[in-house]
Amino acid sequence: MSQTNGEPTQVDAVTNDRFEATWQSPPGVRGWIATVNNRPLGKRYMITSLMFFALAGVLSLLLRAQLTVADNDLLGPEIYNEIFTMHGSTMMYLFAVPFVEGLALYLVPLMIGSRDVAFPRLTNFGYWMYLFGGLVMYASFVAGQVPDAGWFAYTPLSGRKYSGLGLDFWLLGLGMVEIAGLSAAVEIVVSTLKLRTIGMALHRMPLFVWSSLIAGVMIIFGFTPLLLATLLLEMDRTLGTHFFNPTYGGSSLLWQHLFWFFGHPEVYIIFLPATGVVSTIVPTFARRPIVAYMLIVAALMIIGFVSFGLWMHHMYTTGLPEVSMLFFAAASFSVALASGVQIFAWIATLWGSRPRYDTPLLFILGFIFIFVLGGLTGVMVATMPFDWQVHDTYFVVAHFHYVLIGGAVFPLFAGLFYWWPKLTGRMPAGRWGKLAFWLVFVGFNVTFFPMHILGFFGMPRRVYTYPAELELSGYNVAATIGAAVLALGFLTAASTLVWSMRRGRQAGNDPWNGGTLEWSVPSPPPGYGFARPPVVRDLYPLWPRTSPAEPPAALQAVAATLDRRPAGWRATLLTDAVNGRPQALQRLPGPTYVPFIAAVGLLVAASAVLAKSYSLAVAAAIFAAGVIGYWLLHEPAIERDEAEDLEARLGLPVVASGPRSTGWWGMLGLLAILATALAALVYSYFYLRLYSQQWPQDGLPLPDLTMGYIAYGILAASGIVLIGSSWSRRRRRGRPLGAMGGAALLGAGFIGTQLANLLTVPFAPTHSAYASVFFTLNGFILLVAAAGVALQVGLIARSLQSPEPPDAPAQQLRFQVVEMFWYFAVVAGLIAFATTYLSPHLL
Amino acid sequence: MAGPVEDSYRSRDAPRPWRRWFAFLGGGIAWTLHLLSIYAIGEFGCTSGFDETMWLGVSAVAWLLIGASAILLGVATAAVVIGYRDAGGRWNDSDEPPEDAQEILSQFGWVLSALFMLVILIESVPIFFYLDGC
Repeated sequence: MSQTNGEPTQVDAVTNDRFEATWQSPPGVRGWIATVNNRPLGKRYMITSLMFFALAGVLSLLLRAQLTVADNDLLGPEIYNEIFTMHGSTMMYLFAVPFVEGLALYLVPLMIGSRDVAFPRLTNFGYWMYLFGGLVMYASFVAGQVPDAGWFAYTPLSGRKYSGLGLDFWLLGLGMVEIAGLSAAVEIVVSTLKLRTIGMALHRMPLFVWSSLIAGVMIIFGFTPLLLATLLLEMDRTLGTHFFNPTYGGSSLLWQHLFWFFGHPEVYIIFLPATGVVSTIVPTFARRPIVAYMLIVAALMIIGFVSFGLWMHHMYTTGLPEVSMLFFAAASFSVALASGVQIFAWIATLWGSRPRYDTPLLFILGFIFIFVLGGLTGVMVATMPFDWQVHDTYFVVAHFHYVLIGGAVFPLFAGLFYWWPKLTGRMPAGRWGKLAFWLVFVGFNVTFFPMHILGFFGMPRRVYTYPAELELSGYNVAATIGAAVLALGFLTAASTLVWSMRRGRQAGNDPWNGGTLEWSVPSPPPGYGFARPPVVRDLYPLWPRTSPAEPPAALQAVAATLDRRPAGWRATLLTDAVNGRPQALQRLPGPTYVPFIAAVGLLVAASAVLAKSYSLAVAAAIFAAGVIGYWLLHEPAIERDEAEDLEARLGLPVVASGPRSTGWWGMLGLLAILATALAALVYSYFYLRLYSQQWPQDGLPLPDLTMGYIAYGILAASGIVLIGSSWSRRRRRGRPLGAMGGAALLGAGFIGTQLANLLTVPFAPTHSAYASVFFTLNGFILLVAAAGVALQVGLIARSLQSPEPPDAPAQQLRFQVVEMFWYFAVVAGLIAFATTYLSPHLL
Repeated sequence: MAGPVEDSYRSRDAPRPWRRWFAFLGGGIAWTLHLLSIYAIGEFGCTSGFDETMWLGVSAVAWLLIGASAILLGVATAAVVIGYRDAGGRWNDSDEPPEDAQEILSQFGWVLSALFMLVILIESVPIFFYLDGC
């Protein structure tokens, strides 16, 4: 074994007890609300998502019951639409992504040898946003207003004219779930880059961690356009804007572009972590390292990029230019090649080995079989003439269930059985697990394979019944029987796992002889995960070493110094993003109610929108923003004596700044989200412009350039002043606080001037799509600027009270992140100015 | 504050970090820009009727598409060349990985960028079927 595990070494009992107490969560309901530890929260994500999975499964059985025979009226068209909308929405938004995020939140810190994730309070906030979002969506059943526009909510069907209050439940709930998804993504990405243990360079990173990292980046760029699209649609429905309303110059296809820009990567966001599960389980059961590790990483990266270039293959029948469609067809073929690389690598790893055919491996083999079929039909539907024939038929239903259940649910169940001993400390019963696999495998294929044929026979999807003359009942009866077997399989799997929690045999640390770090700690792991940071030299640190070199003594000394330390406050080791070399300590917060209160504030805001009480909604949103501000200002406490002692012994700082710190990377993540939202808004502006005969629409006047120059000129000036602040801070000259105060004042001046501009333009946001996008883009900049000014004022207030010198790392970091945010605000403002003010004059 | 642990690793002979990162991410970024540009040229150029403007028997849209593809193919190729040179022509799988993961960025990067170069090439093929219009 090539690393030191979590066993205590030479630490006195008092230190040990303090360390254990520091990492404990409070008991009872208090702990349930306030815990910030990644493992309970990761488990909670998974349990909640599995409950939603069960709900969606029940809904799918209702759908199958309705479709079993021709001309059936068991559900009727309205209820059928509601059920299939909630089935798809639950599976895609409330089960698949949250489950893989929960799994990653639980496993990634264990696999990278970290004690927790980078922003524990954000994990807590994300979980509550996810739960509340799901509850808002399902509250539609209680209100008798169930959404019925499909999981894709195409406009104009989802517009105010054709969809009732149910769609508001859907949009607001989904918005909350998306915020949760983005929170978890930033968490996973920053933790992976900065919290890897000593020696875990990029090429020693487990493939599950690689896949979670890439999926996290994809969520940041994929979820943001959907979040923006849901916001714009909700504005269309409640405030009367016209983004998606062709009568007023909007475009229904704009929704499809924004939706599928998220929608296609979504499939890979689910699929990539699932492949990470496969790449972890296959070597363990084959008892040999994975074949072509680096090629698999290359394939993951190619999929991560190219999946964003496929959104238009969902829109082949919408009348796009042929040449454009061909680009996307070519990209679709390319992504299939990258997926193929992984499949060959898994087969090559198993080839010639003597694998143990236990339940996890059976689910993996089932995955390979089903996913290959789903991939082949994927290449078929990526071919335009074929897609034109089968579009909106059951062939597509069969294809995406083969991809999503085969590509994600099978590996995730494999992962559940594989890591169950780590989660619970107990082994699941092998025989019942295997029975569950066979029921799921047979049930799945009997359900979904006939749907390919139904599609060829022209059975349309999203329609509640079919006429008897089409003679489709035989295949539909088979599919329904298959669905019952599939449900029985999932029930058997769930019963096996639950039963094992009480009756399963003790698992020990490493029951499967796994090679990755999570198997080095007790099952279930203690709150701190690793008492002592492991020193990693290989891709499989728990297997016999392949690298001949011993870890440098300096690294071993760092690990020994951090054995059960710091004892009085939570911290983990920060390392560099490429090589895994120690850089600093990362202090971490303990249990707190603050993220929960912020999430409740946003829940109240969403509920108030549903009740059409907009003033309450605004008040609740401001309250939530205030709570988040309080959260940002209250950094985790440290014990100064122990911190100074550790600094002296480690030769590393206890607080880092700049790219070494998680705060810097977290801000980069937030800015990536905001930049994506800005890009989607600018795209929407030019898309609407392109398809309008006249711009500005409806004879509206061109925007007043003089007023625009004045407002955005003030914003640009604030950026220049901030450069001065940054310069004086770096050179320890002048008064950086004074310069930042100047920038904040100019920022406030911009907000006032631009507000006056917007209030005096001779049209309202509800006049036309042009007016809607003009106000929204400029309003977005105003919100960003307001947040930036608030950050600057908060920093100044804190600095005036703080005893820390300006060049202390914590103070430097605060300046850096506020400056990054304000520079973004300035650049975003100039882009918005060029788009909304300059471009109508020039183009 | 850089500690002795970190300082002890710094090497003065290694290629500059931007070269490593360019080799690693250059191909992917070139692909992203390529797809966005050919989409934008196709969607906006064809819809606005710009494809009716011809030069040497080839539509203006096709010229723009060819130009964007050539430039971004050049960027991806540059990433491959830089990565290949910095890696000394090696492509190392996990058997004997180098001690310094920075080196991995080059070794891995040039192969990754080469794959992206291939994807850009594949995506550029349709242009030649639509030289005279959309």
